Amino acid sequence: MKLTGPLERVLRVFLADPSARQYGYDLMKAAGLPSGTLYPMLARLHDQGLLTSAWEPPPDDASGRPPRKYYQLTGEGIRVARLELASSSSASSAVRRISRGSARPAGGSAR
Amino acid sequence: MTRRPRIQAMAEHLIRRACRRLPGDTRDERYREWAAELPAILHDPGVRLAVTRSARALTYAAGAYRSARHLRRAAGNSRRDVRQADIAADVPGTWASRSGLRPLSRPRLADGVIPAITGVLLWLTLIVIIHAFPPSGSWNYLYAAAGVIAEVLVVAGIVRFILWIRRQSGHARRR
Repeated sequence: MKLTGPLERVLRVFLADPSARQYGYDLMKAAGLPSGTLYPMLARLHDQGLLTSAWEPPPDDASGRPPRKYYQLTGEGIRVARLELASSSSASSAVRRISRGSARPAGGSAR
Repeated sequence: MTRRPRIQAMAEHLIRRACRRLPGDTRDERYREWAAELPAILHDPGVRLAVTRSARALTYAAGAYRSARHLRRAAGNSRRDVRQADIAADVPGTWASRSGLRPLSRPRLADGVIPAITGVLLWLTLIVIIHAFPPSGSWNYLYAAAGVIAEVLVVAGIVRFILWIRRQSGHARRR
């Protein structure tokens, strides 16, 4: 799985509460992604077995609102998401350390 | 009709059109999924202005085109497969007809019906006009041209209809 910025954001939303039902629009808002980016990503994660989806039961109120589809991480999805996010954050902290380390000698040589 | 349902209908229309690009086995569910989010967007308590909610609904619906393009590419379906699936999606009893929403695809007329009907109507109109205003002078050419166009339309319609019938019987034999 190639961890892109949008994917990372989506995984973070899911991992914030892995047992929560995540709906498309709520995910869009939480991850700050447009529908054209989010849904292909959800479909890909679903095909990889990292997400499960189901239809909510029809609402009891008389609003006539259609049932929505929600997504949840599978057990494997939780494991993979945590692993990917951990490696991503360790990689970015390593980059920060390197950039800080490279800044110091440059400052020292100026003196 | 109030403003909000009209926006919802427009957004549903956009989503419906986007979903027509999808393979037949997924389009119904995708349309159902994406259209079901519209009430949540249009009644989002976190967004105060109705105009903003409407704009979000339309943007969301426009994004369905991009989603459909990605999903179609992922499914690897050719345009021809999608076209053939159009017919399957029109089967009565699918979720769209059950839920009261408009179906994804319009019922398809047999090929050649529209040109043939247009040609016949043109002929009838021409006959009425000729009776009312008998042709004379340069009008003869105009009437003749209209007659030729009507004939071409009818013949083309009949030929296309015959080809369509042959294609349909070929499909039925293969099944």
